[in-house]
Amino acid sequence: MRSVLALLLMHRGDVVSVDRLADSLWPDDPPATAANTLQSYVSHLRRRLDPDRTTGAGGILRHRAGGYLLDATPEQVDASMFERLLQTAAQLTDPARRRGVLVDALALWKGPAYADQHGQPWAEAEIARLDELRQVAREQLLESRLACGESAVLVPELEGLVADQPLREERWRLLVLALYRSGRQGDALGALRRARSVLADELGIDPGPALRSLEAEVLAQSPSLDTPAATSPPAQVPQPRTRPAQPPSADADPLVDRDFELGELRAAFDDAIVGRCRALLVEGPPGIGKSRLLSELRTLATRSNVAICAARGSEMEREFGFGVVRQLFEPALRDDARRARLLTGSAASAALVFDPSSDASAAIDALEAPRGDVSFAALHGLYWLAVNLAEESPLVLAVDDLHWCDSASLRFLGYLAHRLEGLPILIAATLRTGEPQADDALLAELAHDSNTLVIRPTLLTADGVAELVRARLGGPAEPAFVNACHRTTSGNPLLLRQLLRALEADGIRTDSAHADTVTAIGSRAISSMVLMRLRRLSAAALSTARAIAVLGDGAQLPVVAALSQLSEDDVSGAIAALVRNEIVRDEYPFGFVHPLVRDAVYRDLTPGERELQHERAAHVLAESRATPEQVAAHLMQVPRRASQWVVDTLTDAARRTADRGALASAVAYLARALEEPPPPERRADLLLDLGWYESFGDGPAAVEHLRAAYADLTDPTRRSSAATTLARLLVFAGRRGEAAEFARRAAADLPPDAVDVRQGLLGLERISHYMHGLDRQTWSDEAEPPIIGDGPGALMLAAQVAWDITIAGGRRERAAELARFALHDGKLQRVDTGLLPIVAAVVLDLADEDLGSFWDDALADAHARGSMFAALAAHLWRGYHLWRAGDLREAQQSLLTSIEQSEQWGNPTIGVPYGESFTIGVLLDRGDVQGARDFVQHRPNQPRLGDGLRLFRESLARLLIAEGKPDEALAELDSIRQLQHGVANPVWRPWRSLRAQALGAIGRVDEAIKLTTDELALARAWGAPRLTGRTLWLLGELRNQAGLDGRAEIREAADLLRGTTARVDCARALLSLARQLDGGDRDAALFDGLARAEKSGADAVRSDLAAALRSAGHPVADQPNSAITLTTTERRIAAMADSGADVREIAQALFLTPHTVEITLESVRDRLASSLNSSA
Amino acid sequence: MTAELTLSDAHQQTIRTLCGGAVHLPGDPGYDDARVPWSMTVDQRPAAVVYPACADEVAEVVRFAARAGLRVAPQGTGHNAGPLGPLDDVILLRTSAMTGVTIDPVARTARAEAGTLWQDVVEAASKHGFDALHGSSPDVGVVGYSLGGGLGWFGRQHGLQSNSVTAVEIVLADGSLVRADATHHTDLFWALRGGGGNFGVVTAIEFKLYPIETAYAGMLIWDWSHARRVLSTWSAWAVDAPDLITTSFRIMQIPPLPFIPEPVRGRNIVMINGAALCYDEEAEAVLAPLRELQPEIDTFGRAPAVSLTRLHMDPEGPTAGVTRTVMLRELPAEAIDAFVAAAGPDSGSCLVSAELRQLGGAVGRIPRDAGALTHLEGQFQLFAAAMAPTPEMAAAGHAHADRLVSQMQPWAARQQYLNFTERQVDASTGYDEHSWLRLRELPARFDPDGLFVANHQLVRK
Repeated sequence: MRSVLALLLMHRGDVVSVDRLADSLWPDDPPATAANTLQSYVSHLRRRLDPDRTTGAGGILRHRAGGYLLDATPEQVDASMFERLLQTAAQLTDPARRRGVLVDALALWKGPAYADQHGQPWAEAEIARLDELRQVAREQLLESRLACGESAVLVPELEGLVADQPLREERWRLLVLALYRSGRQGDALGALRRARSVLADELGIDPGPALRSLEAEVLAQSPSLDTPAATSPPAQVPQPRTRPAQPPSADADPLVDRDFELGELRAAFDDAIVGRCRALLVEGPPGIGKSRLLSELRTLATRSNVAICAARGSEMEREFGFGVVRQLFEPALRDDARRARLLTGSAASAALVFDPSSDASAAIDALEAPRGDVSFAALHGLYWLAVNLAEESPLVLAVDDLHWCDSASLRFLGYLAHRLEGLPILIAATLRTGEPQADDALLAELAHDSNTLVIRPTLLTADGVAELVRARLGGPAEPAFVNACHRTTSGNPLLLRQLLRALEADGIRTDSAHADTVTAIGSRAISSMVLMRLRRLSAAALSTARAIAVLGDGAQLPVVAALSQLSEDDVSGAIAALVRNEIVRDEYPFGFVHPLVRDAVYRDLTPGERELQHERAAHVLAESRATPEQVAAHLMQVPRRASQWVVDTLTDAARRTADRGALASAVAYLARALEEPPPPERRADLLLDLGWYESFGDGPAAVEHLRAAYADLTDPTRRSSAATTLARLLVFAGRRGEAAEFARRAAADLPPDAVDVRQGLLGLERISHYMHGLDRQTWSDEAEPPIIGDGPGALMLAAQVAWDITIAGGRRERAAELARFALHDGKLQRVDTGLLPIVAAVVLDLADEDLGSFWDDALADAHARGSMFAALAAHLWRGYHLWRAGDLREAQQSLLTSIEQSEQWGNPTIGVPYGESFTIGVLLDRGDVQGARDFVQHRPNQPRLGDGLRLFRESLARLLIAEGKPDEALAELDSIRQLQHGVANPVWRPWRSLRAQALGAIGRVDEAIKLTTDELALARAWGAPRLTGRTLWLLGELRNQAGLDGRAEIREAADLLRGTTARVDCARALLSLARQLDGGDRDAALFDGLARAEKSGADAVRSDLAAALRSAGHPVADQPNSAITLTTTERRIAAMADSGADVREIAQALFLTPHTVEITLESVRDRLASSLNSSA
Repeated sequence: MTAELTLSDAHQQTIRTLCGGAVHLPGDPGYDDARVPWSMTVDQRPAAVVYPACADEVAEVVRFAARAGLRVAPQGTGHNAGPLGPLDDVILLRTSAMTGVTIDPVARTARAEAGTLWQDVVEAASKHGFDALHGSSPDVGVVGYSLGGGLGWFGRQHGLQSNSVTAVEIVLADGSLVRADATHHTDLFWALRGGGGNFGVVTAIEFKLYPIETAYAGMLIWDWSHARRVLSTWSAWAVDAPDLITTSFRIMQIPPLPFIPEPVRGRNIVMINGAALCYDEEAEAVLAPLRELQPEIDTFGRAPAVSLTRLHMDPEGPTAGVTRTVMLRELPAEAIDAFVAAAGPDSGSCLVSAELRQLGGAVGRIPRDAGALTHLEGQFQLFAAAMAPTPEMAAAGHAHADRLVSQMQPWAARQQYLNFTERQVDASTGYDEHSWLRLRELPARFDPDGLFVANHQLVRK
């Protein structure tokens, strides 16, 4: 019966049907007599509720249209009454009256709501709702008591409430307020810390805005925290407090003279959030107001519900690898569920940036990838993390003081900036001009991107100054006073703000009598203005400021207290004074209002003091369980003491930071650890690690340190591993000949039983001889060296010997056999990225052996390992392979990627010329002569070396021939005649046929035929059909040109090439062949050639073939049929899309940006549609 | 005329590191702003202008100057900068950044930093119900005024401000900072009270406060045609008036400038203003003879003490003007005739103000524990001022002021009040004989190398 009443009460004023009542009362199994039972309940109830009435027509409980209705006034129902009182209270402004109403409301509670109906599904929601209202009412009552001036007496009650439900932030807020108002500032801050840790432990979240702003106010001893005067109406009580009027802080000043800049900012913001890619750089001298504009952007983002990830570069943490990236993303990753969601798919590898001990890192270890070679994985993962975040909502990545950004983060920002197209992401950063930049190139990449909008805030006008003077100091702001402010600061906003703060602190009035005081203070440097104010504060304020200056931005209260040797209460008192004096920011964790201010305080410490403070900071941080990187940032500054602890911490930090892929930081830490110095027995190990990390970015330094490590190491295994690494590194980074020399000496030093290592070194010695263009006489005539076993060294040597055979034009089968051996179990690919496995694969390619999916596998493997070095090598040689196979568009894509990555990697001399050379070849085969010339023109003129130089110059000659400048081509070829003259096999150095083409073009056909005939003999000896076919075709053409008969050669060429993958060469041969045929045979050859040319993307050849067909009477479109000109990548994208993959899945699988996938799909669809139309 | 650098490169580099960079050398963009004193007619061209913010920075400047063979001229607002002379080898040390007042309500003293203006002291003191012996302008600096005497609206009641000074913090020629008071460095303490800026750079000064919250103060105004009648009555009244009141008589030719209130703008008037420390009834009784002269305007009444700094309506902020002064033994009828003839109607005078300050009372008596400037001997202090926005007007102003002063020579006292004297004079005339004999020996003791330059040098080299 009580349940019936409860149900009717809950739906008071509405009819509840009999069925509904029955269902609720007997959810499983209503008795047959349900209707009757209900009726009897109702009549009982009626008698109880309305004893005077006897009929069902009127009264409180009425029967209506198949159900019952309880028509009680709110006054008759305690729950309604309670709700109504709460509403009344919310409208009252007088806290005393509100308190009275709330006391009455809570008095209505006689026990838990609907106690009898607990566990009933239909009652749960209502019970929860009423309970929640009750909790809110209790909070509001305490709030109004606080507003009435009670404070200390409320503390125990509030503690009780907090203990009841520690996740309700409003309770913490009230508790903190009560403590603060009872004069217990320290306890108030303590409560805030407890709140923070409870929320972090239980929910993994930070306190909400109400608590955060309260914290800042407590620290600043904001007057807004005091009990409101009894007469003034209190703020709207039930709402969480928004940030109230504050003590003077940067944000309190109005923004003046920034209409133009704000307009630009908004435009960039609007563009960015709809996916029109934008990066924003606010650039200018210190104090011009860059950060302020960035914070305006933050406000803009908050108002538009755009997520914002913010970070600040700091001079101190420049070596903290991915420090800025971590600041940006860590807040978004705190919640476990969200973290899991954000770090899925390709973003998973970003996890190692945030937590090197994560699965991603383990996965990399499992690949046996060398430590540290993970940068690419990190960049790629972070990129996807940003994409995933942007999928939640448009996103602003705001980085203040980009000039102090660590290079790993900077590299990421550059990487992202190039891939912003179509993503609703705005990268916004501030950059100080005139600051020496460690990473000029990386910054320039961002700054000079055409999508980057640069805003340069201007100095303030006199009117702007006047406005700020009035806003800050009030009073008349007489013209003489304002002029003095403007003149002495030149309108620099920071200088002006510091000046006004100094004037305010000294109580200077804004009349003309005090204009000279303005000149006096305003002509001081910012630093001395700050120090002047600081010295007038308490000793505690000075030590606190110094501690924060040493610790850097983001200092935490306990650490500051420990470092300044003050109690936390004293520190928070000092902070309040520092905030009031506009030295420290009104935020937690602590930081200075401006880097220049931090600098002033920091420089005020004597050099010795500074170092000692950093040393103490390192210990304090270590004890507070800060990360090794945080500790290391300080250890970088401390005096050298040969301390084992320092070495250990730095080594640990180096390892962690390298695991994130921030190698520059790892290098810096280890370099510092070496200076400590480490105990002698640790030195060699440190050097080896250092050299290894450096090998990915700074070849010469790596060489130096690996040499030193090699000299010091005693453990034979480590020593030989150092030797192999160093030798390989020297191939890429050493002086000409250095690698060979070292490899030889190192091999001689090895113990007799180190057979395999010795073989590897021999392989390296010989390949470096070749690559550096050294004289190979020493062994080129010798018999093939024996290859013993199948260790890594044996595989390395096998690859090299295969190469030797290839370039000498030796036995093709033997070369292929050795190359296959080298690659047979994938071991070589794991120990050596980018050198000998590549050599082996190229041998197979040159031998026209089937490589299967080797290059695609190599690329996928490189991506999985996250090695950019491996990726760039795979891209390069995959491009070469595709070029020769006549997949020109895809080849071009791969080659350009390789060049870009090579440059990003910072080692252009040896790798880039190959890519350049192949790219020119691809463009020429496509028939895009102008494109090839443009490409050459836009390449920076960097030094090129050895084989790469030869290839590049040959390509230039090829370009000149295509441009109709055979004389110049010949001159070019003459000038490089001596380069790599030891390469006999035309498959790799076809100098004769190249020269023959130039000679043919200037009419020296006889010489040309002679050269080509010689080359044909060599080609036949090598026996690779593609080479033979191409040479035959050239010879045939030349013979035809000379008036001799070249038909046999051309026919043979066409026959040979038809069976190979060399589509472009084959199409050319078929065109030539067709000219000597008639009727159906001719047409068949032309159609065959047309299909091959279209497939390869060789547009020039294709249009010649099409013209020939048209003149033979066959209608052929001007443009190739789109459907069959899809590149491999396009086809793959289309295929995946067909099988139902979405854009993101495709992008992740193929390492592309979603935008590229979208565009590609769109273009494929368009082309398919138009081809369908045209064929219809 | 261009200022020239007199500092070597090395010295330039060093001096720029002083005072947190607040250093202006000839040729710097800020130099011209920084070198302008209160009286804009004085063209100061020092070797450098520096703005220290604390005593340590002052000491650094002093030590640097000694090393570099330069001298140091301390200057606050630059009131009465005229007698300083050429400054080519002088660092002008301006104390404008050293502001701040601390009131000790128990000891009834105030401590003002070197660059503090009177208005700031008065406001700070008024919050505790006190006032100090400030002058007639709100923006005169406390230190300069106090070192040279200090004649204000409570002078006849409480004497010269220099004799209310209780302590002086000063950086001496060797760069040391000392505190001179009744028990420490007593010679220095004595000399500083009236002896001006001859001994070092004062970084802060402490002085007595008086429990003055309100005063009976205001002004009486007539058309200047009444000048002789009013002056005759006032001069006789002034000599006999009780100490509780201090007044000033002025013939004023008020320019038609927009910021001057309507009733007197552009008019030639006679004004008596002043303040009395007593009950209303007493003050009214004292003022009755003057009121019988039926002034056109009478604003006397109960006023907050803090308003007295603007009672005299002195111009605020740097101003272009020329002045002359003379102390008068007495003002008999012939003297009144001469005064009115030289400054009143039909005189042809261009003086904006021809003023006679009422001396006597406590100003004329030697207090116990007096400093170097013991008292002012005369009955009146004449002060003539003309506006000088152009060189021509300055020349005319000088001529008329000179004429007035020379006409009054027959009644001139031996003593000169140096705080008002804006040109170089024999410093001995500032003091009584006993004080002078003691005072003239002291620069050799405290500043043997003549490092410091004051406007009124006790010993000229």
